[in-house]
Amino acid sequence: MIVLKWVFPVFLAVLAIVHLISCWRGDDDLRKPTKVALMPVVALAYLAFARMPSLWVVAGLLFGCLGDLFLLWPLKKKFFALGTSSFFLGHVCYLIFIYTHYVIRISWIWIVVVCVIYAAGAAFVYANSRRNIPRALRPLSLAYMLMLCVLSVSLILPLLTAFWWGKLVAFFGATFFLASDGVLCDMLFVKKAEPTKQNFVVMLTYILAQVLLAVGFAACP
Amino acid sequence: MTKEKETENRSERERFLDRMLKEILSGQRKPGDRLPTESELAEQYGLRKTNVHLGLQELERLGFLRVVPRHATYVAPYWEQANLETLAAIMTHGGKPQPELVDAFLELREMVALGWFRWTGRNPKTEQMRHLYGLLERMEAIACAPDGEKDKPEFLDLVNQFLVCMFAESDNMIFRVLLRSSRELAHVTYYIVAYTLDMRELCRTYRTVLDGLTSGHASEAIDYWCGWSDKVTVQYREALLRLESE
Repeated sequence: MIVLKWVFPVFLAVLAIVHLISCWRGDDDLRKPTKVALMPVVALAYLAFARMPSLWVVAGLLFGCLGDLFLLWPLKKKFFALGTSSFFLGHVCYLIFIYTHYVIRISWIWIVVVCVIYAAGAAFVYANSRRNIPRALRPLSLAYMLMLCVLSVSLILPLLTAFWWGKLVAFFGATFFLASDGVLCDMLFVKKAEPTKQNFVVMLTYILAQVLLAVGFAACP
Repeated sequence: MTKEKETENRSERERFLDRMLKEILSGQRKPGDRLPTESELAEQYGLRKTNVHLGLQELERLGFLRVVPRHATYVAPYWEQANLETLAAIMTHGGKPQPELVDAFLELREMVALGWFRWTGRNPKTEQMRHLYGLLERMEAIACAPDGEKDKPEFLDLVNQFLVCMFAESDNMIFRVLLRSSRELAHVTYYIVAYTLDMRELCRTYRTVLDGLTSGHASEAIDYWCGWSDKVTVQYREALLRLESE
């Protein structure tokens, strides 16, 4: 049984490598199915390793899968909106998990400092990228960016309250999400294309984000 | 008899029990000592003779006194014939517990804890574990706060809740009875734990044990607990001696 559960991370590693190679080479036939298969395998690995699996984490990963499916056609506005909304809902699931499992108990000054830093960062990024984002997608993009910031802040505050490696790993996951979506935004709205190598960076950071979040949540029940 | 009169008599009898037990447990009245007559005791404590009589009967029933009919009443070697009721009476009326009793309780707690670990290792309950992890998360938040901001009473309450959840939510009804019977004394030990031990170390130990139990490494968790427990029992005893000298 113990050996059997390692099948999932090993399969995930192989799948991720195949997917990243297909991104690098621009092989769409291989890239699309492997992309959609990634999150269900992360969810299975999470279920195999988590001490007390939470349905919220599984739901978050499955919404990620749905987002991956819609973002196979990111340049179509409708699919972009559906994909972003799926990720948004996935993050809501993660937030529910975080606030039902972690405790925040630090001085309000720290909370204000962290929130101000994130708000300033978000304002700076949005002000610089706003003009490049189609008008219809601006509210959704802003909401999604704020959601990423909320996810990151929601992980850094319990980490500041009481250090535990599981929380640190999950925080790194949220940070990779910020990096991944930052590169995606740049790729779609500034460069208005799907350059292969940039797609590789987006997916590398995205896989790391989801895997680290799942590992962090599995280790910190 | 009116309800008020009955309550008054009961509280008078309780007061008598309190005083007598404190005198016996503090060693002021030793096993084998002869007690004054009922009339003398009633006058000495300013109580009704009937209540003194009933109080002495209760103390005899609990094993603290030996009554020789038409002769005298003696303090009995109560530890030799003590039962759970004796223990409960000591905890309810005995005031500050004797170090030997706390020590004995700690040993019992260790035995119960080890039994619980074995039982839980075989049969982990997800909901109970989730609750324990939730309490632990809140304990860690306090333990990691700066020294001046550590809320010790809340931490103490959480340790208490953690241990109650550990033992009381088991399916074994005797675990629950034992825990309830020893609640007062348990509170004293939790007090000592929370005020003398390193909070972070305590949280680390609880987390290591829970992680072991939930990941199928129950025997490693038990070994870890035993090692930690041996170390802290020495600290408990030192703390008890300090309490005694204060």
